[in-house]
Amino acid sequence: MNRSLLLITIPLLLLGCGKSEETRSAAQEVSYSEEDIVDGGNLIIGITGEPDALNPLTAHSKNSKDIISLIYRRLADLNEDLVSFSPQLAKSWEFSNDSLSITFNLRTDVSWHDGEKFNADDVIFTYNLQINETLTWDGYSSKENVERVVMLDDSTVVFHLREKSPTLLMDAVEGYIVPEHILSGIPIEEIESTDFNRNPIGTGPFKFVEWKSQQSVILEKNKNYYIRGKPHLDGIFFQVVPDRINLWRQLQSGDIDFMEKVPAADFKKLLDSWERGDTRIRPYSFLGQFYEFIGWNRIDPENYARVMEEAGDSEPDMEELLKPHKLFGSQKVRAALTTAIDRKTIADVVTHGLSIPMHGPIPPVLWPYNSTANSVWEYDVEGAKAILSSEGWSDTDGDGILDKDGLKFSFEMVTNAGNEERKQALTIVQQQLKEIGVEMKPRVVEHTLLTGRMFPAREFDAALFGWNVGLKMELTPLFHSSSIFIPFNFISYLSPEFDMLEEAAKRETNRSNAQKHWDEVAKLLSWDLPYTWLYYKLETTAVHSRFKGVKIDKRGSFINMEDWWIPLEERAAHDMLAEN
Amino acid sequence: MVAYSLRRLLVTIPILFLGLSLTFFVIRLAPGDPTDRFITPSMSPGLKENIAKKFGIDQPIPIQYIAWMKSVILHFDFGNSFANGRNASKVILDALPPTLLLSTLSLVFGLILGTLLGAYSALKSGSKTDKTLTSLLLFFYSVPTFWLGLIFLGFFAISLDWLPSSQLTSIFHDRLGFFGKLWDYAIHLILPVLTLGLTTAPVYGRFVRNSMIEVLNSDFITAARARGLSERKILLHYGLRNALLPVISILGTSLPALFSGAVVVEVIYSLPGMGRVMFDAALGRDYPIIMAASTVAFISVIIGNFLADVGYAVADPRVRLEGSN
Repeated sequence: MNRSLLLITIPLLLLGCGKSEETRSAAQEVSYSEEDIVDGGNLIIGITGEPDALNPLTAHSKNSKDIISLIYRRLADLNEDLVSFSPQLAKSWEFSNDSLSITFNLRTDVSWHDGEKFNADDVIFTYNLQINETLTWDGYSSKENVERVVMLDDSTVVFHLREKSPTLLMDAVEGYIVPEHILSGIPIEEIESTDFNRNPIGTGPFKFVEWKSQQSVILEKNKNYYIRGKPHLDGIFFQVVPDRINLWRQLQSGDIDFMEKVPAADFKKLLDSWERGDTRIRPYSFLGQFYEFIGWNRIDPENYARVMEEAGDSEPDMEELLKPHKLFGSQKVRAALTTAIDRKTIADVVTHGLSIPMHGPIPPVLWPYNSTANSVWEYDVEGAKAILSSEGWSDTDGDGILDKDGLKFSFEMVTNAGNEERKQALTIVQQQLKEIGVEMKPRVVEHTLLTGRMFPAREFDAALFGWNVGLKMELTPLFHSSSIFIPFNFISYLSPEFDMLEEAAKRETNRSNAQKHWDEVAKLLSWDLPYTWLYYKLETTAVHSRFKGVKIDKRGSFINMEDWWIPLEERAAHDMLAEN
Repeated sequence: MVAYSLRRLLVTIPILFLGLSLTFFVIRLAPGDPTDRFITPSMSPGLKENIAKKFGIDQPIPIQYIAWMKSVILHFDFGNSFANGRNASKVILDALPPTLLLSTLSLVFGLILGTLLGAYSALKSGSKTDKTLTSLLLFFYSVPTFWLGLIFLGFFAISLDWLPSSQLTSIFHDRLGFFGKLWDYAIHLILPVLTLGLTTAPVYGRFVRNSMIEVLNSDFITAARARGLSERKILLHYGLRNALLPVISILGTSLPALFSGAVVVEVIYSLPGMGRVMFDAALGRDYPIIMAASTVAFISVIIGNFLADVGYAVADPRVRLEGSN
């Protein structure tokens, strides 16, 4: 790619437009004021896969959502505290006295990218699509508490809710608003295949220009953006480079300006280089939304398959169906296995220290996180052996593997293919469990195949897996008894005590009262151990330091790109070319 | 000749039908659920069933097969991609040009290189040069395309940083002038064409060498020499020309191999072609795309074989007679 840039650069240098790339360290960074901001330049973002769609209602991949976040706007945006909101398409909002409705006052100076005016019709129309099950909008559950949305006038809408909830506002503003004047003419069943999915019209700071299949997506500045003077950049280019190693190389060579999920080892090197002042690529690490865990199957998979088959289309006998797993049905066994696993070593080795060992179900990124609420199972090999011994497990035949009533403590732990970190973690866990006389057979399975076996069929013993959590505190899909047949409760966790505590926590509108309930939930789950939580990952992003005004925090790397700008003296060749 | 060609074409129809039917059943029976990609913790319980219904995969496989056949035969419609809702034929049509470009350039490069090396090797038959060239050809014949691609990628694109490591064009391609665009294509295609061409060349090289040795040892070459014709004329007009005739037959049959090689090369160099489309579709169980891409692959195999047969029939009239009989 350097050669192609050379072609571009040489004429520009001859014209005196190009600027030399001097190295500037963190210490030498210049501070800028509002007056220094100049518009222009381009940002090239490297992504590993092309988006699946650019329609907020039909897109599912992270790449799609990142691009969509620049093209569309919501009614309000979540602030860094993950509790309060900043106005966007809604300039203000009021709660009713009974907290069962919210009235949004909409901006009247917003236009869609095609010039049409934004108004309350768009909000009502979007809501009606969001709750339509024919579409597969993945924020569906956030609207379940919304009874109806009504329009008072062109710039006022009211969200009526079924019941009080601490997340009323969060649920109401979830999802980007789509244009009624374009989508209303398309039958609902055709929305997922309509041309709009690849030619979006939004109200955001950047307008869609072009999508070259498997190659790139190009956005340009929305000159009529409702926040005057923004955005500063002329354009944002998403370059598809499926291989992360390639992406990293292109970032170093200057072909791209921005990449997320820099591999941990490379990130560490980059951090050192940045601190030494040897690079102009700035590393950012922040609390992300991803954690890794081992899920123990609480039920006997063979029995489950048999009962389900026998039941056919009729309702299965739940007691018979959820017969405990021969090994992991016991809390003491799960506790012993958790105690035998050295989370810190795994986190250090696998993520090069770019993670936090995790002990309970509430991720550190969410407000109810309280590190003291969890029951912490410290790494203790002898302790683990003692627990298993008290449970009657011993090595009677001297083969190094524990047994009990003729049953060997041997099982399979699965993970998905294509994730080197998980494969590595699996190997370490295998070694650590071997020390207490437990035989764990690692098995790496292709992703779709694995989820097919884990989720509907429950055909596994233990699984090393990970969840990407939302910014709303929510554990129902993972552990609530109502989710027992929903894929995410794949370990078949069933606890009336958990159900009660979680429901109370979710109902509570007073923050400190809710915190008490969430602490109880954390304590219960970290004691009961349906999962052995391993570590919470830090996100690793790298951006060329010529971009100023960059804000990256736990909400992600795409939260304020309309504020990004480049000083004239630091413009790169591709900033100049775009202006020609 | 026309009757012979038509007959050959007619034979291909049931082969295509059988091949596609087999592919249909194999991918439907393979484990993995296409609806899994839509699963998120916030989805409603009935959504998975809705998606399956929308994709038509809630029906028994024979019913799905009949519906699919009807749609393909009557409307030539492969349905919409499960991943992005785009029409599968459109996805394939978008991805086909880069693959054709890569395959054609690699074929031309492989053919020229193979012919030159094979012919030179034949001329130096038995010498050290012949042995070296034969070993070299054998090496590139045996080496897996993905391995060679990764080596080139690591060395020329990553370590030396001489050439681009991915894509068919740079991001500002549209803003370049005509020659700039050509150069942009060229530098992006060097490594993929080299990778695929080098693994294709040995097929022709070995064939040309053996064929050339046989021709050069023929009586008519001895006769030509006896008539005092120049060695250059003997080699080019009589030797190489006759040695190249059988190459026609392997030219067509090598098309499918070239196609599958292109899949690997496209994945390695992130080229926006059929290879990446098929790779992603297979991982995501995107049935409509898999079937549309398989159809193109089958057709390319059939066309390859057909061209080989016709080409050989043109070159050797005895084939047509045998065919008629």
